Amino acid sequence: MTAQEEQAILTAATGAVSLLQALAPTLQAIAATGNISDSQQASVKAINDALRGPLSGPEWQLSR
Amino acid sequence: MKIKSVFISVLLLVAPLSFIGCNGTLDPTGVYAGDKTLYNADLTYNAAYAAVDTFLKYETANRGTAAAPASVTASADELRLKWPAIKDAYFATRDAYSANKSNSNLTSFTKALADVSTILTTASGYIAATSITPTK
Repeated sequence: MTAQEEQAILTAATGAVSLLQALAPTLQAIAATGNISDSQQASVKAINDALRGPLSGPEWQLSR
Repeated sequence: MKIKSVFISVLLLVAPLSFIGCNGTLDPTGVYAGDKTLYNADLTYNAAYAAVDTFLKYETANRGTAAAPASVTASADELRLKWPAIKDAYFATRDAYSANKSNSNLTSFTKALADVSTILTTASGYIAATSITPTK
C-alpha cells in the first residue's frame, strides 16, 4: 500500500472516528463517577439528533 | 500501521458503548430526564452509525483494490441496503416511546434497538476483518 492510499483511508475514516472520540469523554466520566451529567447527556442527544438527517455522501451509494 | 491503529481505536470505542452506558446514573435534570432506556438506546445508535459509516468510507476509498475485494464491497452494499430501514424504524419507535412510554411502545422500541445492536456487531466485525487486510 502506498502512502497516498494510506492517507486516503485515514481521511475517509476521520469523520466517524471523530464522532467516537466525541463520545469518549462521556464514557470515561461514566466509568469514573457512575454519574452522567447534564452536559454529557446533551452531548449524546446532540449527536443522535444530528444523525436523523439524510444519508449523504458517496459512501452511502450502492456500488452497482 | 496507522490504518490498523485507527480501526482498532474505533473498535475499542465502539465495543463498550452499549455496556458502559448501562452502568451510569442519569442526572434527572438532563435532557433524558432520568430515562436510561432512551439514553442507552441513543448511545448504541450513535455507535452503530459510527461503525457502519467507518466501514462504508473504508470500502468506498478502496473499492477495486486489494484492500477492498468484491466480498468487502458486497458486505458494504448489504449494510447500505439495510441501514435506511433500521434508521427509520429506530427513530419512529424512539419518538413514539418518548411521547408515550406505554408497554407496547417500549416493545416496539426494544425490537428496533435490537436491530441497531445487531448491525453494530456486524459492522464492528467487518472493521476488524478489513483492518487486517491492508497490513498483509
